[in-house]
Amino acid sequence: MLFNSLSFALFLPIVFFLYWFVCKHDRVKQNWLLLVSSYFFYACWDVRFLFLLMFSTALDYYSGLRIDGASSRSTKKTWLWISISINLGVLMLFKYFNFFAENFVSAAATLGIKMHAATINVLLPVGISFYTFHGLSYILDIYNNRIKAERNIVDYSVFVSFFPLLVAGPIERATHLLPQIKRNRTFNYTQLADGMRQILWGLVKKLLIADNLAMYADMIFAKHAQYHGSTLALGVVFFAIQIYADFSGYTDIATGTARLFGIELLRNFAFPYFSRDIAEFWRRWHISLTSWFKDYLYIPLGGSRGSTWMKIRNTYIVFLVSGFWHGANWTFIVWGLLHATYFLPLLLLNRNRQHLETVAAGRWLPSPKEFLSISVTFLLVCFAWIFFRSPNLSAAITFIGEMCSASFFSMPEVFPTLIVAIVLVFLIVEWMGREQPYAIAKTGLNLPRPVRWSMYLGITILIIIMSGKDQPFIYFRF
Amino acid sequence: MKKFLKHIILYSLLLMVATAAILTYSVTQLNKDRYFLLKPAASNVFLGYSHVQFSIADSILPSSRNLGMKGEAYVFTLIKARKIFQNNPSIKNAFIEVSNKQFNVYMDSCIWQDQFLKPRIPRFLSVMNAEEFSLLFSKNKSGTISGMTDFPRQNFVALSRNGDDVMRRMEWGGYRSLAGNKLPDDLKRIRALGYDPDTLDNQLSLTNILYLQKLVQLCREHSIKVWFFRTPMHPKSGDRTNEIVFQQILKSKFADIPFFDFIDLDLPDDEYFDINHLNQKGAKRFSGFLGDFFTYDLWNYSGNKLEMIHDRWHAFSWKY
Repeated sequence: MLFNSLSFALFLPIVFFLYWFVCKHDRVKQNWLLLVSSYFFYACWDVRFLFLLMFSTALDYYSGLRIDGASSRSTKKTWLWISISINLGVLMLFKYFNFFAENFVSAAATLGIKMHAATINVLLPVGISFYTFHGLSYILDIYNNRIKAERNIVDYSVFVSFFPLLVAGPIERATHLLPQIKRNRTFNYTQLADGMRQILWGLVKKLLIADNLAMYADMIFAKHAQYHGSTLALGVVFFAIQIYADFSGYTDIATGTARLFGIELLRNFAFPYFSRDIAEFWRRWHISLTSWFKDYLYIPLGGSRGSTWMKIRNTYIVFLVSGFWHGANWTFIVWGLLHATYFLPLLLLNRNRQHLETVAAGRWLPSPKEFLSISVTFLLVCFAWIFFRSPNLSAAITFIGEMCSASFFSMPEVFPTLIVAIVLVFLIVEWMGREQPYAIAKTGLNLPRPVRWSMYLGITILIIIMSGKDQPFIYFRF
Repeated sequence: MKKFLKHIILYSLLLMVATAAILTYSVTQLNKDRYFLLKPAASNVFLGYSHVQFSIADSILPSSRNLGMKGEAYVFTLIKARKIFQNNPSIKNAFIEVSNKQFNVYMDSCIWQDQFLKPRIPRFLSVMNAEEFSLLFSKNKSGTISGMTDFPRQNFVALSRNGDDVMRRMEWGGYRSLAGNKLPDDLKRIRALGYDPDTLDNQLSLTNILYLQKLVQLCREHSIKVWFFRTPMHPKSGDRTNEIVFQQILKSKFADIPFFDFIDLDLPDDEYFDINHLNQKGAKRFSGFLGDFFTYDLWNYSGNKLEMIHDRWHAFSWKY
């Protein structure tokens, strides 16, 4: 069930109605409803994988109780590793088995040993990377005494499988989400209206921006040999905006939907393309994943403490794992390593935390220096996206070679004027709202209701008449 | 809680009114007669699905227009033909492709399976009648609704941008030349599969046959003369299956319509794009051959058509 589908448009009001008007203020009933509806939502993808989700939930719930109740450090450690091993084992089996098997056979072949790759033809369970990381953070937090194990299995199951975040995040923490699940939620008009507004903006990003750009980005990447370098460069920019609009659009819909149930999710995007360096970009892009890796991988590895070599090692490990988290392909690994290489100079020069505030805060326009920094950062990110988007490394390298040819200086063959105009308006609105949680959070709130509603209605109609061809959310495949 | 509900309902109502206005505007605009004029005017139209679309190079033929469209079942052909016939009194002859596959149950999926229905609803909704709509809706409700939601997206803005080129944008057919030759790959695949036409499903698509009858009826209402024909197909083509049933249907339901069967014309392998379709080289040769039918008025030949076709084909190929 996609967020931008008719079935979801029917599903959401029904759950909403039952939640507030049938379950009313009974938290236990509301949590049961959220659990059942979340499982239904997930079963709509593939009912077989629902059992995998239930297994993962039961495993982490039980492991959490055993870790919490263990009297000795060694018992805690044993249960921690049991949970981690099974969680990562399942993830490896479904997501990475074929990758490792194929690469092992290729490596053996280069040594003259002929082997047959025993690959398995399985579908990737949707959201597996996300809910596995939910569970892992919970277990690690209990192990590190940050939280107590949750005793109510329904509450815990809602934490893992709450439908707005189930398939593509944000990757929640037990410390943030579980207390909200355990407390009574009250009907708050402002919160709900804000949620609706955020859903609307998410739909704009997904249907109007991402889906329209996808048609051109897909076409240019698929037939790159036919186009001028300038067209390929335009294709990369289109993809950069598409993936941002697609993923942050999804997040806005998820966050807005959660708000309709009185639940606040972690922020996942903070206008990353207005970043002045790569460090700032990573504080603003897929924040819940970045902070997960920081807390559960980078810091345990030693973080920025220790020798220069340790810092370099830790940075490369985190970005390598981050790239690999996205998929079993060398393109994602190179994408991660590229970002590590971009990030490293800032870390070594201790300049990785120099841009903590929003760019040009309180001003209409950035300074020339800020504009230059934003542009350079965007170009670096775009270059890395070529690897992310390409089907394999040789395609990425060929693409870069063709893009950097003399034809880069000719006019692009593909230039959808209307789409480009819409994207420019979108970027302007994003820039204007960059100090808000999402671009239109405060837009028009001071205007009279009829004007404000006309604005929302206008946006909705624009989505109806100008959205692009249906495309699946990019991050669903991770 | 009440305030929120009240606002949501009010907003939904406003949105519904606005959407209805957009739909009405789009449907009215799309129904304008000027969008359906054939330019230049044509006396002969060729209707059918991919076999027609890829085989009839209409520019070679006198006053002819290829309106074949790949994967198109007769219900959609009927919908577009009704609009085109209304607006083009110059049309005197309709050449409708019939093939074994078009009578096969497979065509049901071409009518209402999601992958075929969803993209067609936005292209045909504005001109279909209630009976056609209810057929599609009853067979695939979610696909029809999903296609309807795409209707404003595909048509509203395009209406203001594409001017009179509505038929092309709605993909209502037209000759498409296919370059290349995938026939060797197809033959290899068939050999590997151990192809056996007798194992293929021989159930009929009663809906497609019914709409072919309606299409014929429509032609008659507009005093348009109808011919059936079958395009050349490779001897190994899977689309040749159930020949006996095919012939029986022609005899029982369409006995009064002249049938010209070109299926066995021996074109060389390099004139096929794949096992079912001609490439541009084959289309050029076949269309040249059809040109003779207009020149020498062979469409009204009353003798043994099959013999005449093969005799003329040998003579034509020898000259070609």
